[in-house]
Amino acid sequence: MDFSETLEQRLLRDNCRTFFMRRYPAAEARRVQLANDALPSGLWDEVAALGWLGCALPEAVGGGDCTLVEAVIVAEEMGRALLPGAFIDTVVGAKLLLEAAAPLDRTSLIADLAAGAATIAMAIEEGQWPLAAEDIATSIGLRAIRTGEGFVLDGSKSPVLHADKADWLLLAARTASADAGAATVSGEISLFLVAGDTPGIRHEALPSDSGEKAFAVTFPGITIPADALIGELHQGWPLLARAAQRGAILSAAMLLGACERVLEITLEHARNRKQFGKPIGSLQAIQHRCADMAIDIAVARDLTYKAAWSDARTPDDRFDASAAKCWSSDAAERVLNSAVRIHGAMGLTDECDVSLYFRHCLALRRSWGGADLHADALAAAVIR
Amino acid sequence: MNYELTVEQEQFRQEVGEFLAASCTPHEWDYWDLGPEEQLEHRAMALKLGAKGWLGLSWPTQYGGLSRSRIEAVLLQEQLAYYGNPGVNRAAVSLIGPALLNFGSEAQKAQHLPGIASGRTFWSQGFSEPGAGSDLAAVSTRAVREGSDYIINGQKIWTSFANKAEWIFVLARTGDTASRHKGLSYLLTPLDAPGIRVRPIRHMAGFQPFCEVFFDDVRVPEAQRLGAENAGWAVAMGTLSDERSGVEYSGASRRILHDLQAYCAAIRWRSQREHDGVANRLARLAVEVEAARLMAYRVTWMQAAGEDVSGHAAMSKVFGSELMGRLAAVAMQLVSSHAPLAPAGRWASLEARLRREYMAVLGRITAAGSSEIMRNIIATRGLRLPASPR
Repeated sequence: MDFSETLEQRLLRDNCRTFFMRRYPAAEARRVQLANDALPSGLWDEVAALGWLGCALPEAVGGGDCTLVEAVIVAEEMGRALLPGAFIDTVVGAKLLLEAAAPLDRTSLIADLAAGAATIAMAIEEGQWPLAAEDIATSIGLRAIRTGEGFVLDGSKSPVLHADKADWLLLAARTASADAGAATVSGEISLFLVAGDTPGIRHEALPSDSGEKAFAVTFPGITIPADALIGELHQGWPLLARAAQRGAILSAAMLLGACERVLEITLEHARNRKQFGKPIGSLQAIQHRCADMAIDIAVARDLTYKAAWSDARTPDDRFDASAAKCWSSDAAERVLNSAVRIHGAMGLTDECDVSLYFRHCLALRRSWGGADLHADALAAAVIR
Repeated sequence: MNYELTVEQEQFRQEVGEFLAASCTPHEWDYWDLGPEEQLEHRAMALKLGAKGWLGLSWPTQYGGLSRSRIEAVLLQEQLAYYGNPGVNRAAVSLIGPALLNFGSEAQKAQHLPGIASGRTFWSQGFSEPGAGSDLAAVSTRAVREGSDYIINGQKIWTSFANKAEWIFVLARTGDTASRHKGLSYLLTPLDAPGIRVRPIRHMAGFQPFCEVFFDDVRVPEAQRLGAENAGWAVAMGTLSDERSGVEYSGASRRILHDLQAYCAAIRWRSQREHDGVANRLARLAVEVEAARLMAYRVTWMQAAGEDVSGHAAMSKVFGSELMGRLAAVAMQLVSSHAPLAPAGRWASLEARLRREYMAVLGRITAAGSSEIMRNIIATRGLRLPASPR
């Protein structure tokens, strides 16, 4: 039992924090979020060049040969910096491609993803994640119909993050229906890797106030080649479930980082703001709120890192991943609410950094499934 | 970062689990509910644990311990808590034992530690008073020097199991009234000393763990003072903080969760909606039970690394004890909803135990530093907020 970070892990965290403080300070985060603006020019390339995108991928594809723990460290620091972008989709997508037996060798694409030379967007949702685990499979309505030359895609995905910048879309589609003999709904799902610039694909920007660029992507009878299939036909569900596990862990890590920074900002305010001639942070009504924020965050930290550590060891055990996201989503809600309350009216304004975190976390809490979805996923196993 | 136990630790964990599973069935142990019969079993179990060397697991071998690591100690505490702490006199094993190790003279260690480690001697904690609870420095029980003795006069309360223990450790005022925490001394006295009177106090759940202890000219030799005169506060604070990981709450929480899972697996649900609603609540609680364990393990790991754990230990205590409360509250809704209340009904003993737990857990949230005091500590020591005005 050892809760310490290795020297390499500490260095990775320090490097991330220093880099984001320099290249993506709060003023930049404010500009990007409030104007739904682009990231500072060249920032993402620098993130890629530092090796962070591929840190959890094997050395053979140019990765850092680390586990998901290192990716969680990066995600936590990105959350702390409010950095939007395709980090989670890149890690989750690349790992999925690595694990799937695909008709085509995808090694060079995975290496490009690790190096930032190619970008990928995960296209799973069709109107937000559902609230019950069994509805994830049924909510996938995009059809992929087999033809002589490949498949024809018909339907749409939304939200897809940063779809406009994605060289590749990794999407989940329905390839069989119950009457065609598939035993279960999840046995009807297949995964496809589709070039982002495939003619006919339509992007429609969705309103977003979190800093993430979100799109509805429509596939109106788009023909894709047979070798776009990832894994076996109708066998996409286990791969997708595994990807969703990792997405849950990484989004929990981003929430963790965001909440930690929010607590720091709030403590600073509580120490400096004076009422009745003393700092409000000396008042127990404020202190106990802060203590509860700290507990929420400490629990989120332990559950999230445990889940990252378990990822490679017990891949079939979903408990840790869902536990991390279930707790972190609810904890972030409480932490952000307390932060606003302690800041008083100022906490409600765009001028206060807390509001940036508030909007960012609202989106993160839902991505890769919210607390209800993950509680439901756990509920199936809690009573046998 | 590694959440795995070593092979040795895992073997030890299993050894403890197997021993307790064999020793604690079919009798359902209940830490609090010690009638005369259970009290005998409790004592017998203490001797068994003592014979294994587990009561002083991490203590030096010369005092009856096994010199095992803190990690192993926490694994043992977790399993014991899961089984309701059979044979565990916490005041002895977790409070005065470590205090003696840290502050005791060689003579004091030699006199007291073997009795605790062997499970022969039970202790009670004499800290709180009617006028000194969370504000422990307000202690007014006086100890006046007379030759090489102290004469104690006053009253202690919430002295759990004082009616069943042999010794009591007492925080008494040896300085002047205004000296607060600078005028307290830490004295050890047998409970059968002349002038001591013990009055049990009935808990609303029907048992008598609480006591009041009255001191009327009780004579304590100077040799039974732990630490220097007027330096009792440091000993008391050391007593309260050592080995405090919160693992007893996570172990006990896991037990309630497992009981509820077993119950849910056995009953006939009236509808799918009923099942799903309960399953959802239990799922969230299962997450928290796992989190409580991780928090307690983290505190233990920090202690082993020599770090200041005051903030983390307080967080673990608040989270774990309040989690027990949440679990017991769900249990009250659930078990009484399906269990026939007949005393011979299949679930009657489970319901009775959970009902006692539901009432007893409020004591756990208050004892050993109330949640409110713990939140003060988290804020001021963990988060470094300014001290609140007094």
